[in-house]
Amino acid sequence: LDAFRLTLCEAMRKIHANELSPSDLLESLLKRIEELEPKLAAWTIIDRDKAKEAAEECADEASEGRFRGPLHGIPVGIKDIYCTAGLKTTAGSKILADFVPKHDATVVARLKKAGAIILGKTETTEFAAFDPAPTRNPWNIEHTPGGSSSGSAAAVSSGMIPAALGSQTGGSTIRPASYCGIVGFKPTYGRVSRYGVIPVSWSLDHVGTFTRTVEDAALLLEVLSGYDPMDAASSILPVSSYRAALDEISPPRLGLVKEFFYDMASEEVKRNLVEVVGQLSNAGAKVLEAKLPESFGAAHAAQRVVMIAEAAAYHEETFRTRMMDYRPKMRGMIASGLLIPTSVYLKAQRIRTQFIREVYETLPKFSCLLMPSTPSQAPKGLESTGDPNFNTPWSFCGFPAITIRSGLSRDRMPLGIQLVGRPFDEETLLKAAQWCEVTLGLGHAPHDPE
Amino acid sequence: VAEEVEKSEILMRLLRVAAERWGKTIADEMLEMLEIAADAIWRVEKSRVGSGEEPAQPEMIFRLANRNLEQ
Repeated sequence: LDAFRLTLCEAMRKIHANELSPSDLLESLLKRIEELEPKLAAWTIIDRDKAKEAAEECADEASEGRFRGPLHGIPVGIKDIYCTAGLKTTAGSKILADFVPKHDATVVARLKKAGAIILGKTETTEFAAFDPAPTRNPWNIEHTPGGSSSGSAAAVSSGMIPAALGSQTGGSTIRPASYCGIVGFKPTYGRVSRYGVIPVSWSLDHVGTFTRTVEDAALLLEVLSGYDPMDAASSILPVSSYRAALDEISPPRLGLVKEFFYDMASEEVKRNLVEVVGQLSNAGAKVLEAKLPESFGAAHAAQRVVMIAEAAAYHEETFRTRMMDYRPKMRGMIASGLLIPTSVYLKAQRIRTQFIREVYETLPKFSCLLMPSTPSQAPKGLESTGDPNFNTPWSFCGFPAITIRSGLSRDRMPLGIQLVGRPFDEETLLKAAQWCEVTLGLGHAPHDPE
Repeated sequence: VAEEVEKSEILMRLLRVAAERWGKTIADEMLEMLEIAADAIWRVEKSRVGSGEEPAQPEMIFRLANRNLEQ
């Protein structure tokens, strides 16, 4: 077996049992990258030398029975909006072309503390907004992998790395994960520190993860979550043992959201959803229709107002002197945000209050909500990263969301289902997701691009 | 029709201010994003929101989760 095919948890177990050397794992991943990167363009930097050095140290420690943490000797990829000490962090922009941070983002430091090796930085749309990255979809290189976490999704899907960090302000984790047929997970707002992450929008930005299994997503959440005094929005609420919770899974109670999500979906997505609901129901899940609250009608527009106004506030100073160094969509977004009236921004935030409360009142009836992850398969072409409208409401309310692969379209592109849980109850959400993953039984092998 | 007129008025206002600040050529290049912003502004402006609703703060979902834990 080629080591690059291992999931994060499989690699962890093999390394801890001394059945796999971190150096061999790294070598296998580098070989895979060498083969696929020219086609997929998922990475901005690959830190080969430092990664090899770190893998050798980890291999020596493992042979002596010493392990730094659960991710001992496992390479991971980091979206290029996370600060990495000594490693260039460009956010896909000319503005930060030469920025080399002195410190790690909190989550990068937590990954290192858990033993992970930072293999490199993955491609992002400019400042995690709309101007696309050069990355291609491993399932068909003529299609977008989605964005903004384009490189992380493509790298994990194709087996260049077992796990990678992304982020989500609108649909930047769930959408690319679904387009690339893997697991994308956005924990509750405040669950994972955003300190050291270049912001799009302070009140909407979430850390996200890309893996090939739900169990891997649970492992990463254990490593990444917990209070961080450096992040003003970090929660002090207790963190569970998410992987242990997956030992006991049972059929969930799913709230199927047909309104909007079914109506706006392509015929293929609708067909897939009907099939999936049938499979899950036959296996014992209780699937009941969930109604959207009235405030859902304004959620997309309000999210957009908040996002562009906050992005403009963050970039205002640089924009004054370097406007033409931003790419066209980013330039337009910042300019638009600077023109949003304060009263409109505050009304959008008031709509948000109502939306959060109303969605929260819907959730106790269910383990989680169920809907398609995206309105269609990954669109053809690289000029757009696709439609985030199935994801933005859940970024707006800050509730946790996860996508798993649910099938393939007629032209063999992945489709996904999205599950949305109660705030700070990632345990229930992950259990439901794993039950669905096992029931659908689609496997977790990396995709081999043609 | 009335909706389109309202949206168009917002867009014209954004375009005018953008042209004043950054010049007409650049404002025209930003048209796609200004249209998106105008649509979002219009939708937010026309939305009804309860008079008791204050602007959202991150602490709100922490409080909801706390309530959930207490229950």
